[in-house]
Amino acid sequence: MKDDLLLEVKDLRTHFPLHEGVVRAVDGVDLAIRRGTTLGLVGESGCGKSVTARSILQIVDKPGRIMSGSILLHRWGQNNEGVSSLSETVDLAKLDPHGAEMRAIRGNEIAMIFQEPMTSLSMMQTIGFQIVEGILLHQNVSKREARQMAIDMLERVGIPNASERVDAYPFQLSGGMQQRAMIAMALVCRPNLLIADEPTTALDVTIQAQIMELMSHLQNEMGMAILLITHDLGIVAEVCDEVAVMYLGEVVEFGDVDSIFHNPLHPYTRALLRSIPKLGESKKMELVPIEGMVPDAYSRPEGCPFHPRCDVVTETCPHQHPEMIRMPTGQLVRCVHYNSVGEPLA
Amino acid sequence: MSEIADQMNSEDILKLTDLKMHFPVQRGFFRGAVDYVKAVDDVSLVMHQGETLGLVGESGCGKTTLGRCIVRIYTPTAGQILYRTAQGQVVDLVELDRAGMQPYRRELRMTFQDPYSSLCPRMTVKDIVGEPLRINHVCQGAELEDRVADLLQHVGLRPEHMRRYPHAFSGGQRQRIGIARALALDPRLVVADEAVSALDVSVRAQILRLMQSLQRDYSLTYLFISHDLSVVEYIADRVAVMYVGKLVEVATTSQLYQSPRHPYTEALLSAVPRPDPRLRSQRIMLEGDIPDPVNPPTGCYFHPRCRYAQDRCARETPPLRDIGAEHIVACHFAEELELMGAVEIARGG
Repeated sequence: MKDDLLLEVKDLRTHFPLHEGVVRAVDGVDLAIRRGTTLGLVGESGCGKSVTARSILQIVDKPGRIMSGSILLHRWGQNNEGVSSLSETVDLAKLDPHGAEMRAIRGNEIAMIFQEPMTSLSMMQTIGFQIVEGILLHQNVSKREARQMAIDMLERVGIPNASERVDAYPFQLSGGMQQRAMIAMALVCRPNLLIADEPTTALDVTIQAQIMELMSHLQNEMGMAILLITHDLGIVAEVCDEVAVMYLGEVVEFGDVDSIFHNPLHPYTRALLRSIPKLGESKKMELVPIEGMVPDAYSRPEGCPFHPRCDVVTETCPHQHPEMIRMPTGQLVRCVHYNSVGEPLA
Repeated sequence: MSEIADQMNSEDILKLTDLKMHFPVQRGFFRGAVDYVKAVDDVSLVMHQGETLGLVGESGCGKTTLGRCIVRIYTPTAGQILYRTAQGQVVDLVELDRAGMQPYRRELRMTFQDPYSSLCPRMTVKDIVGEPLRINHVCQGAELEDRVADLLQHVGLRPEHMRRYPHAFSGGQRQRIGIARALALDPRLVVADEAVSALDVSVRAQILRLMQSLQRDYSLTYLFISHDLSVVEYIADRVAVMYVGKLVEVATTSQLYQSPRHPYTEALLSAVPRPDPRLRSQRIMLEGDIPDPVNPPTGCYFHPRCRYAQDRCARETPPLRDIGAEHIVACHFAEELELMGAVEIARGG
C-alpha cells in the first residue's frame, strides 16, 4: 500500500488570523491518497474540507496561511521495463504559492474543479479559449494543436458538437454542460490528481448521476486519483475507495468505504449515518438528528471538538484531545473510546 | 357557491383543476414576438386535509411556480384552485382579487428555499416573526412579544434571542425563523419550498423532525416541494412528480417508490445515490438535459429521454389517468411497462 502513494498530507494546519480571533480552519489534518483511487472527504459545512483542498494547491484565500505541516506529492516514473517506481517527492507546503514550481504543478499535475460551474468559469471568454489557455501554459504545443486538444477533450466529456461548442460562451451551456466543460479543462493536461470540490452539488440528481459516471469513466481511462469533497454520503458510497470524515478542522475517521458505512467507529460518523434518510427504507427508519450545531469558528470546544454534541461523551472528553488510533482493521479513528492498541473500550 | 362545493370531496383541502401559469417572454429584434414559458401546464391535483404531499422534479420543472400559485403569489393564467376554508366553505382562489384573497392569506402560508435571502437582514427576529401578526391586527405590543416568544419556543429557538438580527443565526436556525413566521397566523396549509435543501445533513434531520411535530400540533397540511427523493420519501404521505410543467405521476409514497408506473419516476429514483457502498447499482442513465419549457418536445414531453419510448410517444400527449388505488400517471404504456422501484434498483434489478 505504501508503494503507490500519490499524495500525503501530514499534520496540516491552515489558519485565518482575523480581527475577531484566529480561525483554525484546518488543524492537524492527515490524509493519504493512493494512485488511481478516489478518496472522499466528507463533513458538514465549515469543517475545513474546502480549505484542505485549497491548501494542497496553495490557493487559500487571504488572510489564510499554511502554518505548519507537509503536503508530499510523490512523482512516479517508469523504468525501462515499464515498472513504475518512485522518482521524487516534493513538499508542496514548502513551495512559494506564486513561484514557478507551484504554478507548474497547479492545473497540470494537480487540477481542480469547483462547486459552481457558473461562477468559476469566466463569462467573458469562450470555453475553448479557457481550455486552450491552460494547455499553452503547461505544454509545448502550437495554438492550433491546443485547440484540437480542447475539442478532443470536450468530445470525451460528452459535449455534443464539440467542434462548434468550443466557441460557445458559458452562458450558452446548461449547468451540466458547463460542469462537463470544467472537467474537460481540468483533465486536458492529464493530471495525476483531480480535486473535485462538491462537483455536483449545484446540479439535479439526473445530471449529477451523469457527471459522476463521467468522472469515474475518465478516471479508469486516464488513471488519475480523485480527491472528492462532498457532504453527500450517497455520492461517497457510490464512487469512493477510501473516506476521510472531517469535523471542525480535523480528520476524525479514515478508512475504506465499506468499513466507514458498515462499521463506523467514530460517534460523529455514526451520527451522520443515522441522520440521513435511505431511499426505499425511509418509512421504516427513524431519523436521529445530531443535537446542537457545529460550533462557531472562534469558540472551538476544548478537548475532543465533538464532545458537546456526542451521545457517548465521557468525563475525559472535554479535557483530553484524542490521538488518532489505528485499528487492527486498518481504520483510523480519533476517539477516547478506543485504546492505543485499537480495541474499543467498554 | 354550492356548485363548486360539490366538486370537492369533504376530506380534501385543496383541489387544482387544469391549472396553468404561463409567463410571456419577449423575443426578436423589436421585442415583439411573444412566446410563453409554460411553467405550470394543465396541472390537476387534490390535497387531503392533514396530509403531506411531496412535489418532486428537476430544477425548472415548475414545482416552485406551482407552490407560488397555490398561495397566490402568482395569479394563474387559467384553471381553478378550489380551497376549503376553515369554516367549510369552498372558494376558487384564482377568481379572487387582492382584497378578496386577504382573509385566506392567513390560512395559506409558505416557507422559502434559501434561509439566507428570505429573511430581511435589517429586521430583528421579533419584527420578522411578528410582522404577519401586526399586519393582520392580531396583536401588538407586549402581547405580540409574548406570541413571538411562544412561536420561537415552538420551533426550538430561544425567545431571548428575538432582538437579534438574522445574521447572528446559522442556516438551520434561520430556517426555523422562517417556519415560525409561517406559523404565526395559525395556517392550515403550508407550502414548504425546498425547506431543507440548503442545510447540512445533521441539521436537515432536526428540521424534518420539527416539521413533523408541528404538523401534529397545529394539524397542518404540507405541500413539501423538494428535489431530494429520499427526504420526500421520509416525510410525505403522497408524492407528485412533475416534468416540464406537467404532472407525470401521483401516488402514495409507498406505491410510488415501490412500483413507479412512469419511466421518469423510475429514472429519478435510480439517479439517487445510495449511502451504502454494497449497493453500487446499475443506474438508468437519463441522457440529455431537461427540455426548454418554451419549446417542449411534441407528444410526451419525456419521450426524447425515455428508454421505453415508441413512435406513438412522439405524436400523442399522454393524458393523466387513474390506474386504480389513487395512482395517477401520464404514460401510454403505464400498464405494460415493468419498472423498478427503489428497492429493486438497489438490488441491481
